[in-house]
Amino acid sequence: MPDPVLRTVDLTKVYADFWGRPRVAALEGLTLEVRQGEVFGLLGPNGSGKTTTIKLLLGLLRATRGDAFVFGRDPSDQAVKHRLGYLPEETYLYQFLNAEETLAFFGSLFRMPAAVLKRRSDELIGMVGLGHARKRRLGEYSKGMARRLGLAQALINDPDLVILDEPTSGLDPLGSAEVKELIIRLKAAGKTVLLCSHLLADVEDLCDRIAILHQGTLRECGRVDDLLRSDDRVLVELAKPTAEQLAAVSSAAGSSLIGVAPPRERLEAHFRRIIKAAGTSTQGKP
Amino acid sequence: MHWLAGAWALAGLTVTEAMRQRLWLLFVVAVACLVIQAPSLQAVDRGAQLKLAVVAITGAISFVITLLAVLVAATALRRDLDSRTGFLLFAKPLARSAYLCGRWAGVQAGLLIGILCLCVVGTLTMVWQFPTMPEMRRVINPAGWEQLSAFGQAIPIDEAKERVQLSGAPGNGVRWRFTGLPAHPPSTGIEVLLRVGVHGFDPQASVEEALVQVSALPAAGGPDAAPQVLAIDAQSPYGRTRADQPVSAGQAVVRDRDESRTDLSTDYLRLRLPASCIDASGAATIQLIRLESRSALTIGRSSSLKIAGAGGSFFANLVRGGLVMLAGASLLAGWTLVCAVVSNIGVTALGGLTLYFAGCALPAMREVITYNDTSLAARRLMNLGLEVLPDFERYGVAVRLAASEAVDWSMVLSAWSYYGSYTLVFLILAWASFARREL
Repeated sequence: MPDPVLRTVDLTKVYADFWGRPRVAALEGLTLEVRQGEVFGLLGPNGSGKTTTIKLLLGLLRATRGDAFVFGRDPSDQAVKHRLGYLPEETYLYQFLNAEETLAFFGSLFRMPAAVLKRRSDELIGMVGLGHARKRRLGEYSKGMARRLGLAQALINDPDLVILDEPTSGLDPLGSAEVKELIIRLKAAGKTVLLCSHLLADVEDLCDRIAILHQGTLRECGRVDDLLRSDDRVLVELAKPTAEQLAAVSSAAGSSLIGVAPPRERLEAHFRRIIKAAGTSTQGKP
Repeated sequence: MHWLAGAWALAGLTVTEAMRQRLWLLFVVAVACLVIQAPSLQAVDRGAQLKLAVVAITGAISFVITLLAVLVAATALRRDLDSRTGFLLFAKPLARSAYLCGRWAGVQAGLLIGILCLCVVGTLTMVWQFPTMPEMRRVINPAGWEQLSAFGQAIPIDEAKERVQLSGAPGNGVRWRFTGLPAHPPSTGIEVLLRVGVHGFDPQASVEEALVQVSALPAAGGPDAAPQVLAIDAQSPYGRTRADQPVSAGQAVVRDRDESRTDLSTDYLRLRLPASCIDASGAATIQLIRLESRSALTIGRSSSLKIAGAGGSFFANLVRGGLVMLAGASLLAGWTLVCAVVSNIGVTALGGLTLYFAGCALPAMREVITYNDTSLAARRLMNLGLEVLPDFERYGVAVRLAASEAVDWSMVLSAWSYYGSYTLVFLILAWASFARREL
């Protein structure tokens, strides 16, 4: 089995006060692995230690105890950072730059050749749908536009590992869907994605495996299908069944019928369908 | 190379940010207004107004770069930390040392652009306002001096002595030794500048001028050769007449000019040193002899006699003066980065400016210590300050330019090595603090 892309062993972070006295244990004994090509979800309520974990994996914090390895190396190693892309929870970009300049700046930190950087920048700006606003300063961007650009900067170096902290935060449903499609494309390209999100539906749709953190401790870790599987119930789909047919299915299975309800479309799919239909009907109108 | 790429990117970012804030425009307009205003200020003559304009430009440059060095360095680093842009930056392959050096270099580059703008605007407004520009002179100070008795005997002067007073019977004087002069000077000779203090002995009678003879020993002929009297330059502001009466050949009239009169154009008697008095190694000996007993002369070791050469255009000197001031600002930017790493924006700005004001107060501290009229604890504190604080008044660019004295490249180098050593220490301190800091 190849080395995991990310590995933490008993990773612990205790924040200390000015005098060095322990104040808050943000993360306690986290041990997990993320393998190549996986989309791994890190879940947990506010204050559960997700951001601390990410900061430790980026080398922005020093662990109080335990180890973290990214591509088998210490996270603060500059070689590691060449293969890593990061989108923080909020988009902290320079307001006085425009989209092109922002990507050129972040690209220059990787010493990318100018021609490659230009090509990559154009490609990413197009991909995140900011072609029309590429010359506008970020101070004039909406939150969603800044988020899209944040995503573009995370991918400027074509990273092998992408760490996305709440990537769909601030995006409209269409934008969220595009980000989700992008993550699927990254996975298809063999990239590893570490995804932090409060939106459980997103995580459920995208992640191969998830870890659930609570109060700094790992509560559960495993494949999404395995974790969500319910062995004591079965879903049967019937087209417009009668009461007799339902009773027959139930008695044939030798089980009690718990509930009957028509299936519901997911709101996101419904919204996208409406927007798509509206777009089709207005085509050709002035 | 990655380190350099990171530092370069950050420097570019800092300059871009400074440019887009358009603070320069404000300062450029302020400088133009100051210089335009200069002729209407109270001054004794046009020359004094010209000096005021020069001081206005250099003062404005000094003020602007001091303020911007502190504010730009403080806000750039603190904003990255406070707005958490640092998360993004340091998730990239950017070393913290490269970040600090890049920010520092960006501040310097931004200030350099600002200095050039202010120099251009200042010079243009001066050209517009004044018929003539200051004539800049590059001066060479004496390498050594000795006193001459009335019998022509040379007496060594104590090394610690900066000034001597000549009185008593006429015939005594001072002899200066110069080195580093051009071995092949122009046929018209080299300009010599002389300025002495003249005092009378009778409080009822004001004596403000004295008769002297200024001569140089010929290069060939040995120490016993007859000194060659230096001719007064046609452009000299004074020297040929005494109370509207011309003086004899070989004599010159020096007017009382104390240490506060430093303008090379108006305060110094100008003479010509002939090429025949400069030896092959570029050395020359010039002497001043008192010719009358009714006055005493106060003569400074390096301030009374100077050899002057063309100092280049005013604009070039202003730019070099700006570079000297930039060296001081580089130190402030380094110190501000130290403060910014360990504290918030308010403390950082205060810390940066406090160092500047403390550094500017060194002459006052020296004076207080000299008069010895303060407590022991305060004296010790001030002595410590004199040892460790950078002296922002060390090069006196404004005074120098106002006195038409050129700022040469050696002064720029000296300033960068003096302030640069502080800057280096501050950048290392900033890095040591920043490397330990968690984001």
